[in-house]
Amino acid sequence: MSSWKNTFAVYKRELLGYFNSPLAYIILVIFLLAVQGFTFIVGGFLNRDSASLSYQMGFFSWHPWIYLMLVPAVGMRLWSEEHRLGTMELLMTMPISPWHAILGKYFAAATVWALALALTFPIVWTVFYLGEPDPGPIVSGYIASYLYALACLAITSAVSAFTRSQVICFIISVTICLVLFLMGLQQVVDSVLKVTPDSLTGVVKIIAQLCFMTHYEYMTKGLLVFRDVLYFVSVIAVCLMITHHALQSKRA
Amino acid sequence: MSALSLLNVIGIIVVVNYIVGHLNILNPKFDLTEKNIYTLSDGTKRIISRINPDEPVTLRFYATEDGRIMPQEALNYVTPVRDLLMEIEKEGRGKIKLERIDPRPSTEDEDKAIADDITSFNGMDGTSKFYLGLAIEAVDRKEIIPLLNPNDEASLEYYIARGISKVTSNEGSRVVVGVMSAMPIAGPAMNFPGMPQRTPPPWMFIQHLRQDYDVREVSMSSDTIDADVKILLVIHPGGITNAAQFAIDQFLLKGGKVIAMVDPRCMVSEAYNNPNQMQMGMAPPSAPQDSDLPELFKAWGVEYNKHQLVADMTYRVTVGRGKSVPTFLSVDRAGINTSEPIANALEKVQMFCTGAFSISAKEGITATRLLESSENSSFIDSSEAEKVQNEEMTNFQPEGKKKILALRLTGTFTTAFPEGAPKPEAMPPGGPKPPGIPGLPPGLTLPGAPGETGGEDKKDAGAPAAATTPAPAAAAPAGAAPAGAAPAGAAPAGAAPAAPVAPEALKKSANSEGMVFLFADADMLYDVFALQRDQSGRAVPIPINSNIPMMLNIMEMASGSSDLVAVRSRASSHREFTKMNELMSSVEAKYRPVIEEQNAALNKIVGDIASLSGAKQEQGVVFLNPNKQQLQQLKDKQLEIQKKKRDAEKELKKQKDHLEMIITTLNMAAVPLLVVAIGLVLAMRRHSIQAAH
Repeated sequence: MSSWKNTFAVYKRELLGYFNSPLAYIILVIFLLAVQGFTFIVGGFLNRDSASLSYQMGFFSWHPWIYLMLVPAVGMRLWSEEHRLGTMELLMTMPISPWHAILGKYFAAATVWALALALTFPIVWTVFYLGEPDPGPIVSGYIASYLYALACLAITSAVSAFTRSQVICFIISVTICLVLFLMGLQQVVDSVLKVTPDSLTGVVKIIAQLCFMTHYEYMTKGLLVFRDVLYFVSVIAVCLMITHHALQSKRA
Repeated sequence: MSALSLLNVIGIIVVVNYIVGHLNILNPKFDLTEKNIYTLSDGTKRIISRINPDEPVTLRFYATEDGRIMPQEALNYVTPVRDLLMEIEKEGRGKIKLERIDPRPSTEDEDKAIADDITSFNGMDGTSKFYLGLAIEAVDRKEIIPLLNPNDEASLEYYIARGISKVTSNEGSRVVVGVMSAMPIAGPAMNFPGMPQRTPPPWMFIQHLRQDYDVREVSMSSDTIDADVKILLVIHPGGITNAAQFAIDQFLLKGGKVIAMVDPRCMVSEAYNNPNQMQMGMAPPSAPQDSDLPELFKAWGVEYNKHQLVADMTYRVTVGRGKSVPTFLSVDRAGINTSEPIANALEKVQMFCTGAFSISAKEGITATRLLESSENSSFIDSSEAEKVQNEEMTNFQPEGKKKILALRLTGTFTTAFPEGAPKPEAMPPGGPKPPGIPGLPPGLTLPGAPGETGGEDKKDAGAPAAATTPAPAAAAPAGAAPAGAAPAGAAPAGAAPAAPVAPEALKKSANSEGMVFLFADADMLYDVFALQRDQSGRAVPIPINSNIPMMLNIMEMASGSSDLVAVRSRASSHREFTKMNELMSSVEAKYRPVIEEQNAALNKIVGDIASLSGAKQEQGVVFLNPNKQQLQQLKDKQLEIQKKKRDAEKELKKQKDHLEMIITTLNMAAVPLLVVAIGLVLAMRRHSIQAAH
């Protein structure tokens, strides 16, 4: 029971930290402008005559691109900040286990992303106003998008635990997210297959299975398959464990 | 957590992911789409459940999964197909084995694909071939889907279910189809060229059926139908006897499938009655031009009036020279039940002088509408049909109700003859001959007479019937008794069944798998109404509409398992912005009268010029010959009309832009501004609190 209290205490402190500084507001505004701007202006949402959010170049297809940059920007301060301010030692000497700190911080950042996604509600109102969309794929699309954001956040958390510099954390996290994003894109997989010898095609396919987009696409179309959800949850779990491992080795 | 235990845990997670994701174990799916487009239909599940475990089914899925060879569209399609096949394999619980084969150039896998008759396509690299197909095999029976077309995604499940149902059925290879008609439609199967033709040639549709089915003629006077007939095709049963209806009734109750096409005005039948016009060889027995199955319809809960035709102003067909015939219907996708696999790929079904059905509920029978007229339709009496084809309809009043033009009945049927076999009817001597129609019905061109080929949505009217007088309607006796126009040459009355066969007569279907397809038009399958013609006017096997493809789909469905009815089409539902379309039509409605008014004024000016002898004729074409002043007037008027049209377009664009701007602004700016405002308010509050301390 007390463990949850500890987690909640860290969570509250972190969340207030986000909203007492301009950081959260800036993130929210950038995310909203980016996602709606890409959807409406680049994707030509209103000229497509399709009351859905999940087609090619549609609302959900832009999310991975935006998370790629923004999630590491939010997450890079998770642990690097503590290193920089020297509060890391303080946090580690507190009578709480590292897990409490990790989960508390992670949930706080996850809350910011939940809020960001929730604030895209005008587009849901828009499709319902302009047509009669199928609500199922919209629900599963939001679930997929949120899981994607959480996976990127967990990766950033792990990188952040290893490094003191926020800039380095940002660059490495973006790189990892980019690789995981691109290697699952069908077009990229195809072009890689074109240059790999036949004996290695199996390897390329396995790598594609390890990447985000392979598991993201069907979910945005309205089919929630357990394996896809499990994949994202696994990525999050593994990254948080790596975070724990990194903090513990530092503590030792 | 030590590094070793961390690696162990990660290893476990990877293994769990592999088991769930790759081996598909413990991998539930949640289909959140409204139409459950990712879930197997009940029909597919039932077909799978009936597979005999001793005769397992093998699915060999061929897909050359190589981006260098296979185009992107086909590659994208592999995943949904694979997912569906895996779902089917899982549903089979060991009775279905899925083999995924990736045929690369010059490999054994490619030899397998060739052996399975999978279509090969030239790959993108120009030298290799790629394959995307499916072979379904059980014991010694094999069904091939040589090409899985990405555009047919909606029908994919149906095709696979049909294949499984075919390889697991214990039928012989060829299904026997009985054809019953008052017209000589089935002809001889073979005619030696050069031999004098004793009978009219068969319909092209029947010839096409003979390629896949064992087609057998069933006489209109038969009182039983052979036991090995599986599907009975009843096309225009003009003047059908009760004995023949009883035969159909018993055939259905025994589990046979019935496809019946009745017609309030069968134009082909009229043409057969004028053999010298049709040049169809010997004079065939004449049949009445309307047909009905009165006793059976009563038992099935179907109402149909054989003296009423549907006139439809929305679906009317244009026949040459800008004239349209409201009794010729071209039903587009709005009137086709596209949720049915047999119909979901159809674009345009055309019906000629069709009637309509209405359904009253009968216990145990489910009715499904296949084709409907538009709401802009009404009934006209069949005696007026001729008139409507030749002149404009002036008294048209739409009834605002869709009329059922074709339907399917499934379920448990009850006999229409609870008393057993009907008494043999006394043949009226000679029988009232149906009135022969002088002149060919418009729209029916003689085979052999040159006629332009109908375009996409046009049927050439052929020669207009010169001064045809409306034919008097055949006086039919009131009541449900069939009009006793027995076809000449019918079997003598003595051949009727002996009366006391009651114990043999079935009262009810043995199971709930009865299936009846009903159409209110029989002309729609005849050559000139369904197929293109070559230079000499002969029909060539290229459809001009979806009529014959639809009927072949229905034959496929009827020859397979009844469960195929319950296989939905997986239509990936595209939903449009209805609001934008509403906006467009509201603006158009505002401007349409104005533009029409202007057009009328223009026509008036042209008329005035023509009447003031400003017209001259050159080689049969009339040219206007206006003077300068009139020309100026014409130009001004045209400019005015164009300006009005432009105004309408501008107005529409303005309104659309306005709406789009509001929506875009709301989406892009409203919430971010709100976030900034809240942030500022909170910051100021914090600031003032800190200042106070």
